[in-house]
Amino acid sequence: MGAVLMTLNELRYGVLKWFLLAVLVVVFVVPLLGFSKDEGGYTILGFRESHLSVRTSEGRISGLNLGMLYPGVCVSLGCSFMVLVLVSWVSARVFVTLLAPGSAEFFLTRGTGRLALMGWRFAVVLLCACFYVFLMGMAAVCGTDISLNEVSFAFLKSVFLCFFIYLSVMGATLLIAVMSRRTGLSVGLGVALILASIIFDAAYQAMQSDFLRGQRESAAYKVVAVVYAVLPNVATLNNAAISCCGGAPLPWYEIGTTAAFGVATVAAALAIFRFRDM
Amino acid sequence: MEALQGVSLEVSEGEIFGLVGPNGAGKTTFVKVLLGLIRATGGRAQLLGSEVRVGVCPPSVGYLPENIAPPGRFTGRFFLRLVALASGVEFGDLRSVAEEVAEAVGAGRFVGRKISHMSRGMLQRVGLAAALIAKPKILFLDEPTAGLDPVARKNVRDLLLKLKHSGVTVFLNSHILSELERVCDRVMLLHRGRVLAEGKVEELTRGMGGVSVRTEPAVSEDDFEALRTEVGVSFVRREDALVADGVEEANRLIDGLRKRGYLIKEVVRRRERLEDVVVRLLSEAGDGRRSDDS
Repeated sequence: MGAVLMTLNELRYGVLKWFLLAVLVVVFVVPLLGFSKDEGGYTILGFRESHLSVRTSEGRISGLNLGMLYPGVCVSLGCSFMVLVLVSWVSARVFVTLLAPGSAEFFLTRGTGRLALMGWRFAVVLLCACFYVFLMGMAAVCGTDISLNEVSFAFLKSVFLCFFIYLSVMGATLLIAVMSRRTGLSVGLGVALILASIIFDAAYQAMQSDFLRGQRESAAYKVVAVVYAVLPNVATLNNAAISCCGGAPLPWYEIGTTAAFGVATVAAALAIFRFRDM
Repeated sequence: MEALQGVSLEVSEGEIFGLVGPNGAGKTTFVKVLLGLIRATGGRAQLLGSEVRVGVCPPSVGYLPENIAPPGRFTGRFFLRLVALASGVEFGDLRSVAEEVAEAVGAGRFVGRKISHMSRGMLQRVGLAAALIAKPKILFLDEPTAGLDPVARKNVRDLLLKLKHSGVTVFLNSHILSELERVCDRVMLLHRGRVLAEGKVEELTRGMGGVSVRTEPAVSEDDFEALRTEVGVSFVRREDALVADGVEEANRLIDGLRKRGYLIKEVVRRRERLEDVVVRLLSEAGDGRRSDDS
């Protein structure tokens, strides 16, 4: 419990003001960025109702899907890449508190085992990041004056996908942080990993297209396919976080590979942290 | 390479135990092994009756590392609250506990400042406060007075004695041997991972001191030479006093001096300073470094 409260306090201390700023931006700026409501439906940041609507249990197509608000929020803050960098930066700062010499010893000699300390810390930051996405969506609803009964909660699928995106990003950040004990390096390498993942995602998707069908037997395709399976599929999941709200199926293969990457990096990081001399 | 070899000791409750040695002697390694921060390749250690395990430290232990460096973005107060949370202090008691320990080490005035804006001495006191948060039964302090001014040093000494009287066992690593001499009950001198000497401060510093006898008037050169053959014990002249090796030798010297009509003005049991003892032992062990390394 102490480990959880400690992490929540640290997040509150370091991130709360930025969170509140982001919420204010969403509430006051998103409506200014092109939200409109007319007879035909809604438009936010250029996304029309056809993307925003979902089929309800009564079989009619209506309502605004909050899933669209997530990319909307991301666009309003810069882009989703920036959000990932932010997640990596916040988590690296929080992890390094337990890693840096001269700081770590105070917490590692408190009677809580290392695994519990870092494991809970990781879980709390991950869940807070997902909750943050949810709250941003809700803040956008408040900002756009949409009544909640018009909203489809299919956007929770976006939050579900964000969980795996953040799991892999934060897992990589944690592993590098544990090995280097430096915030800057872990954020830098974490971001490099995300970029690599985006590039290989794009390459794999391109090779899946009919235009490059003839290339599927090539060595390049095989390499890309292997890397695609090993690296987290951040870009694919990010796109899916938008499209799944409109009824598109969840990309389970990419969810699986991303989750496997995240779990492997977290497990490796915790094992190193558990057994390494401080 | 082994950092520690054949180090064995028991420290009892309410004792202040000092670890002394040159840089690289293995003092910090020894403490970290006890705290489960690093793994020993062999041997066994018990802390508060439990086997030491890597990665798990008993909760009733306080530790002040040598170069403390809490995140600069925190205030001292927030850092203390985090340590308190990690120590299992109730959420509602965080404020009072943090304030209490900050006041106890004289950090109350500046505990609200950001860590990055604190001087080394301020930081040291915040670290000491953090080490005390869990009301430890055993406290490990690595260079607790480094960077502190003389008044703050005295406050730390007083605090350590207060803790000792309340039954807290204190493990002290320090290069400031005069500080150790003032507060420690026992010390251990480590050198290249081995124990060079261990014992009560009084015993260690008594060894080469001798007994100094001052007379009125000062002993003349002729009487000095005559006494040497008369009393049959070895003694030397240091400034205007004669110094015998031990109590028995001093008594025989005093008898001889009285016979010759000298008035005994002062008899003092001379003691070496701990620093002298350490330097001497290190020189004997083949470490020719200067005393500022010890």
